[in-house]
Amino acid sequence: MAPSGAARAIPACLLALFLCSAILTSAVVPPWQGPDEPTHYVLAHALALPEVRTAPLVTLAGRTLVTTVEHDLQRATLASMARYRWWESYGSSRPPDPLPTLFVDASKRLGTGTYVQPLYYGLAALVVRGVPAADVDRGYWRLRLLSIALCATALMLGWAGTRLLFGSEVAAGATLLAALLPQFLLTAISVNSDALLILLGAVLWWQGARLVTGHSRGLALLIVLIVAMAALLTKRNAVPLLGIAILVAAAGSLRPGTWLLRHVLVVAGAAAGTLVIAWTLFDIVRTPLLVFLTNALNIRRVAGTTTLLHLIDFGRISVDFAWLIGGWQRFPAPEPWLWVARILTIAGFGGAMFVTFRSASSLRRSLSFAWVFVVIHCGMVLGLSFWTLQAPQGRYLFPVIAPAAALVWVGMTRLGPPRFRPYVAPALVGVVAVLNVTAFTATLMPAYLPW
Amino acid sequence: MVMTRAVWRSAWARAWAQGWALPLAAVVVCLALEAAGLADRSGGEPRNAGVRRYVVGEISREARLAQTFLVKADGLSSVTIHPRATSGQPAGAAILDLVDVTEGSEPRVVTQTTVPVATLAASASYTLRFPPQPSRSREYRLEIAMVDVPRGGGVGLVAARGDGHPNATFFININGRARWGDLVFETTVDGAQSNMALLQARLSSWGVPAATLALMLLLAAKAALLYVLMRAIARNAGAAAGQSAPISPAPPA
Repeated sequence: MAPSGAARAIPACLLALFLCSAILTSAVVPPWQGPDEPTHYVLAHALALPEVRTAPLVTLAGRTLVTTVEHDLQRATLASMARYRWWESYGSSRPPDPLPTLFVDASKRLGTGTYVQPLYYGLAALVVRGVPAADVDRGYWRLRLLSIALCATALMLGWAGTRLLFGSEVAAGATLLAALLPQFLLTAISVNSDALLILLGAVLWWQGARLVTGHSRGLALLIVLIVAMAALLTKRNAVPLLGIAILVAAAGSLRPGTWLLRHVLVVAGAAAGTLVIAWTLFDIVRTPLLVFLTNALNIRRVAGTTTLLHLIDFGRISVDFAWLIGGWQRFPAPEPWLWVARILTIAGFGGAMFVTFRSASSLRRSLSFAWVFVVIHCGMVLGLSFWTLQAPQGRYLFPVIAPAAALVWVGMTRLGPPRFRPYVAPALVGVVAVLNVTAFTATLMPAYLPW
Repeated sequence: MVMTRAVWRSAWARAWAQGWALPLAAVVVCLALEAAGLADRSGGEPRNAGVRRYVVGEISREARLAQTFLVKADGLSSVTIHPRATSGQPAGAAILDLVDVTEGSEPRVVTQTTVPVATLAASASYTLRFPPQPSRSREYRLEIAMVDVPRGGGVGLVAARGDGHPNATFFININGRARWGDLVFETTVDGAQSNMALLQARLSSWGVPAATLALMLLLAAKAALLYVLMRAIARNAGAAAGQSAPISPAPPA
């Protein structure tokens, strides 16, 4: 049955709501307030400049690119940060005087970028191409718009995947929850590679849903494999997505029926082609990428002093930060706000777990599919961050925001008797909408407006 | 025509049954919170929601406390603290100093006041007032010292655990270490602008034309879209649950 006009309007309304929220967030939060934005920006802009654009990729991957171009960009970026009063948000009443010209002299928080995973920087360089090195502000706003566009697309693809698996009601509700999530909005206006990884995670969710529901399986399988490789070339946190992609591809390929026999050659050819492309790319960046990944897997936490409570606390902080933490982990949400968010999280996932075991087989299959995404990605990201002594980061969980939101939605709305559902669904959205508004009034506006 | 309570109840029951009461209520609450947030003139000055409160003290003898805070706006003109009486008889005095301790400049005493402990113990709050300061982006330290206060004759001060103020630190100078938490205190600035005015000024400085109108349109669009989506979701949820109206509409009064 073709969807009605009202049903067709829902994704458009979701997209419009997200864009309105992202613009409002952009008005309140000044540039450079996303974690590591200056570092990501300088590398992307450097790659867009003619003198660097022509350098061989292998040179860039080896980070021999500390050139005058990059220094000029760092100077211009620091000047822009001073214009937008970056230092005043970080406990210092004034920017340093004289203003440093290099990141290394300005703050220990500012590092240098790495081109080891080049996909985001390549895309961002295309977007800032033509912007002179001195005009950092213009380049910054272009990349902020790029992040918003990537996250808006991710939201829509997440909706498409959830709709295939759970139907229109869950898709609309879960996507609305994601669109109202304050930290997702903050991530969507940040200039870094998170936005692209979130988009790739959403594509994986969408194509995985197509694969398991029998829509164009050959094409879906090919896209799943390509997306996994692309994710790996975007950010090291993409490693769990590769695992998910392999599982999804295996589950889709091994389904019973004649499909496998009819399409086995196409799929094998596509997989071989993907591997050849991936190997070629890896050949260019293989060594630094492997060094990077090995470093990420180095366990730095001292086993003797680490307890389960530390891990639980780390997980709790990560979940808190997935709801809201302003700036470079500088402006937390008020405690009562966080308690509401924690209750929603526990009730949502707890309810989803309960429903998974109690529901009919079709819903159970969809829920299990979502759990695969959430458990593998969140488990690996949280585990790796914990063992390698990284700071907890909620935004790292957003590549699986669509399946996570679907689980929370189903967990909250399907737990009680069906007759309560028409009340629970809008009530849940209402609570999250109030959290969205109060994130601005209680945290972001006091943090950023007076400066 | 006067609407009776029965008519209101009936109208609400119909709205509830038809599935638009909850979305409407949620949107109204969101808009009210948004309006309150935009009208807020505190300018992000230190305030404490006061969760996880406790009382520091009794503070007596030669104890010294200090609370630092960063002020974002010009015109700082008062700081309010919240003393609490203890079981003993108040005696002696407290010296309250407000010092400008901005990094890169010499510490400067803004004001110093001696207050009898009995005065502090007698009320739930005490406000230290002084002429408006050029306080934008400046850091201050409120110091509280007890003089000639015997054990049992001091006061307590309300504090809150946690890091409610990212730019503030609370010290009890008995051991010189910063405490995890802050005093519960409020500051006021003269001529503070509302968040709405600050937002307009920012957008104008970024070159956004008709900033106020654009902002209003965005907020209205967001509220309208939220309502439309919540309504659609409520209807879908009802349909998915196999019912169009979960509760029969009440008969008209």
